Amino acid sequence: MVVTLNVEGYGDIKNANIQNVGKFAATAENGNRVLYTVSYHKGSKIVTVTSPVLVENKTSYPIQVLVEVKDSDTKPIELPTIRMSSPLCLLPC
Amino acid sequence: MIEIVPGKSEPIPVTTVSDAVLRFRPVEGYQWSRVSCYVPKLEASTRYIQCEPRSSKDRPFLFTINVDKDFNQELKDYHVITLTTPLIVENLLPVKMEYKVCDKKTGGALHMGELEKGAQAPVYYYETQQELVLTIRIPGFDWSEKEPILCNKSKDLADTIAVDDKNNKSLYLSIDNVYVPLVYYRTTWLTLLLQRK
Repeated sequence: MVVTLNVEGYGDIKNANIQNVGKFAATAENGNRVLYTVSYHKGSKIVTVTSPVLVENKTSYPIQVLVEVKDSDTKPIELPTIRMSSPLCLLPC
Repeated sequence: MIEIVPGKSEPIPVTTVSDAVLRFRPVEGYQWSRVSCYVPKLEASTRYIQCEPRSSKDRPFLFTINVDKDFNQELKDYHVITLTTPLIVENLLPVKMEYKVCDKKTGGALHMGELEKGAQAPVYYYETQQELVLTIRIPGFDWSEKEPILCNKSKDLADTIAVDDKNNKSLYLSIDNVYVPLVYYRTTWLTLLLQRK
């Protein structure tokens, strides 16, 4: 199953294959790389569109990450992670 | 700014990935790390990140940052940045253990405590250039000599630590400094052959 995902501000992500579960990278219309994962939960296929860079905290303290855009002032940036959940197809019995 | 609780992960905003610089700090009482990660140039690597305390009374906070790539060619732009504890003291003895992690030069204790059988203690408060020694005590024995556990030359690391009882008889215990950069698991019943390119 191939779909087109549209992420606000990024344009279309054409030909996103959501047939199989797994982790996939794609390029949006604006040239930015995005990551999408396909999984099943209770019969629904879940497509999660996210950033290709993850920070994982395996210490025992909460950690803050400052995201600065190079050559600009430090300013906090909102997380535009998009999570879509829809019953795109049913699990085979 | 993104806050990540222990054991969780967060994505870096996708809008910034092409031009982002990341800095880190523990939530309270510390300045942003001087060392930063420039996201477009991320390479698989492991290094220390040190955060200076706001108060001069406190010691720097240290953690390890590991940048890993997904080796699937489809996902060559995908990176996981993992923040981990730089040093963990683990008690694999069958009894409770007291321990002190000290600075090799000054002998001053940086971290101390008691560990039950099988328990672990993370150590964050030291500086990257510091060399560390460990001394332990278990019931029925005196404090051990201070043995090096973190130093510039890996050949100087101790692999045993001796504790003496009241009759000056020594009990030798092992210190494990295990570092494995890569592990292959064969979870099929089939023979697996590997060839290095």
